[in-house]
Amino acid sequence: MTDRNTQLQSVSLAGKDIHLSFGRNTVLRGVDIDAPAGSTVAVIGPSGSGKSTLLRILSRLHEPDRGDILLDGRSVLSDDPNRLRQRIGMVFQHFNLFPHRSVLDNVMLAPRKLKRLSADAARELALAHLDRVGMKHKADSRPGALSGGQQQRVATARALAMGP
Amino acid sequence: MSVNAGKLFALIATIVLTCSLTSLTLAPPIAADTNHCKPTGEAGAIALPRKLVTANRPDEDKYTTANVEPLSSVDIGALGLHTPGTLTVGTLSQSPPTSCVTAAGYYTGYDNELLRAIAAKLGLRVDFVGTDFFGLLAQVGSRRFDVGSASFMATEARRRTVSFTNGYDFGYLSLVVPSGSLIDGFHELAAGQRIGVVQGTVEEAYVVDTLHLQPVKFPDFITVYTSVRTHQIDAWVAPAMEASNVIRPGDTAFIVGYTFGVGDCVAYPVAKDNQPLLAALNAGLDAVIADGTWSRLYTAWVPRPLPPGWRPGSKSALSPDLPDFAAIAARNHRAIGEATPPKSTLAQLRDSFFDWDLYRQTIPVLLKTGLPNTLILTVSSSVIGLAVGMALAVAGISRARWLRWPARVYTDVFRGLPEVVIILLIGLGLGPIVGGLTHHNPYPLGIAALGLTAAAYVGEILRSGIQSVEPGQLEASRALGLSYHTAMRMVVIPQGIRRVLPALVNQFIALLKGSALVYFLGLIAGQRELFQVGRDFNAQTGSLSPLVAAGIFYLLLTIPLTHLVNLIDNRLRHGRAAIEPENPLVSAVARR
Repeated sequence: MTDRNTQLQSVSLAGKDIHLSFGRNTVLRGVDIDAPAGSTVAVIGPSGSGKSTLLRILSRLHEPDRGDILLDGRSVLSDDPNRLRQRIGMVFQHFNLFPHRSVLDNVMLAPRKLKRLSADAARELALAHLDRVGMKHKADSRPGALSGGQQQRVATARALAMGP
Repeated sequence: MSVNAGKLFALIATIVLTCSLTSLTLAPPIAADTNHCKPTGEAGAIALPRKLVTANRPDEDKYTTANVEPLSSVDIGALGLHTPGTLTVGTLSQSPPTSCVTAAGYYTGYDNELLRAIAAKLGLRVDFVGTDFFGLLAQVGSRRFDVGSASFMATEARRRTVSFTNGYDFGYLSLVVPSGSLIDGFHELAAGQRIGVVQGTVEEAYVVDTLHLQPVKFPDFITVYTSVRTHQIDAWVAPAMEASNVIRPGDTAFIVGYTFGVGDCVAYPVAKDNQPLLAALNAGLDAVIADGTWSRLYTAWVPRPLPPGWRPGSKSALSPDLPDFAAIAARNHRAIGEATPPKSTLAQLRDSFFDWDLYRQTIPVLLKTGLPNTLILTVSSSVIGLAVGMALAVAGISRARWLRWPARVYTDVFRGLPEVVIILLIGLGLGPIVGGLTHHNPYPLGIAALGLTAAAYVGEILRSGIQSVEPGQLEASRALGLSYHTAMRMVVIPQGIRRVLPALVNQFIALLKGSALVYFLGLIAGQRELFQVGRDFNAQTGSLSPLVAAGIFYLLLTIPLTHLVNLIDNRLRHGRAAIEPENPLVSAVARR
């Protein structure tokens, strides 16, 4: 990776003793997870065992009842969740691309709104990330016109464009 | 999409043009004289019914003033007019010969012409506003109008709400029955019969208080008359002048009897505490009696002998000089209710719906006045509806209770009330309060009422649209780091709106049709929308053709919109990419 725009830094991410329940339904009971810098971690388990919920907690789409989340060893629970999420990329099971916007706009939206990039800079960044996942030629298509695999690649580019 | 809008506009224009051309070429060579709203002159003189006596005996009359102040002492700056120097007059557009509007939108009739003459004596300008009879007196009482001009009988009951000038006319009642009816006099009216009256008139008071019967109430003369003709009611208790004017030879309705007017005389109402205006109008009335204007207008519009013991103006006014109407009427053999052979059903149908000459008269006014006003009303109220509706939708799904509750209550109230109730409450209720802001012009209030009602529906439509967007969309935006508000604004709301576009266009169509209700508030001639234009022509002529013409205009507007809904719906269903919502009406207006 020589392009500065698409260069990523390795960080470590860890969750300690995470508890969460929805009403009476306890989903997570003291889960520990540790992803050292540069590593790839897979979470496996039967359906409904709380894999997605754990990931949502790590990006603080849910707040845990108890426990801590460490990014490079520092607790982030007291940080502004919006700032934190800019540093944690997430690709959803159903990708959740924005169907009313083109592929390019999907990738551009967050950098433009949050990093306050100019339209040109955001487009350049987005095209670089789309190129990286081999989707540059579909930049002007709507997500609805893409296959499942293509959508997944766009969702990945969208997540990476924020430089998590 | 702009291509489509262009096509639609061209289609509308073509159809309108074709219609007008067709009506021009199909017009029969001899145009029937169908205009009620013009003076008959001496030739139209009628005799008084034999049994008529006046209820206004001089010894019992405690209201007519003994004399009037001289014209020169009237200070027109102190009359309490809401537009200084101008008399704002509430009148009726559809009760000739006393008050009516011409095809050109000019308010005339005996009452209005006389008031013009009086105002000229006082050096005042006159602004006429057409409204409905039942609300007129209340609007005079609340000073929305300075004066009412609608052949008001000055009854005791009404004197509790308003003050009346000296009399300028007298009134008596007729009984109008359809052909073939067995009723031949007031004494035969009985419970179980459907007796029509115009709401809020002395006729209504007479039927209720004197005959002790329950009448069927109508908003205006022309509707009750049409109902008599078509046998939908058994009888109409009518003011005699209006009845004899509206019934034409060959019509299947006859005047069978008279009774005495329950009021003293016909006079102009003004607000109860406005003594200076009352004195000025009385002075003006005596002046137009003295110079012969009263006699001229009386002869032109309502020629009939004065009942014994009654004369217009103050007690010291000069006796007017009038031709011998009884003799003229006898010479012309014109008695009220003279029978002529009835027209065939087919001829009646043709006159009612397919009077080409009337189409030719109506369509230019519909195009020039009605169409722009309907579009202005609809477009501006839909802008209000969209803006307020969007706020309601966002507040309605907010997590904060203090936002959610007011939105809920607003929606429940405005969606739960009939549109006409909201229009009357906002138009007549708020009118006097915000009068300074709107210059007593009900038009903006009508727009506000329509827009606020639409907002309740639009809010619900938008809310359902926004809530139908998968929660994953919001989650994905939040995961990228967008705030709740940015995520809603950029991602969720745009998708929600797209989904409910068809429902929104339907709401726009409902609003277009609802704009007809603004006529309840009283509009000046240039503000009349499609329905009111059709209604006025209908009232002048008794033919339904102008309403049919207005209906065609509504269809020309709504049918393309209905197809636009289907088009959008199809595109959404088949997931075609670029959908740029554009409203053909908005763009048509913008192009002007």
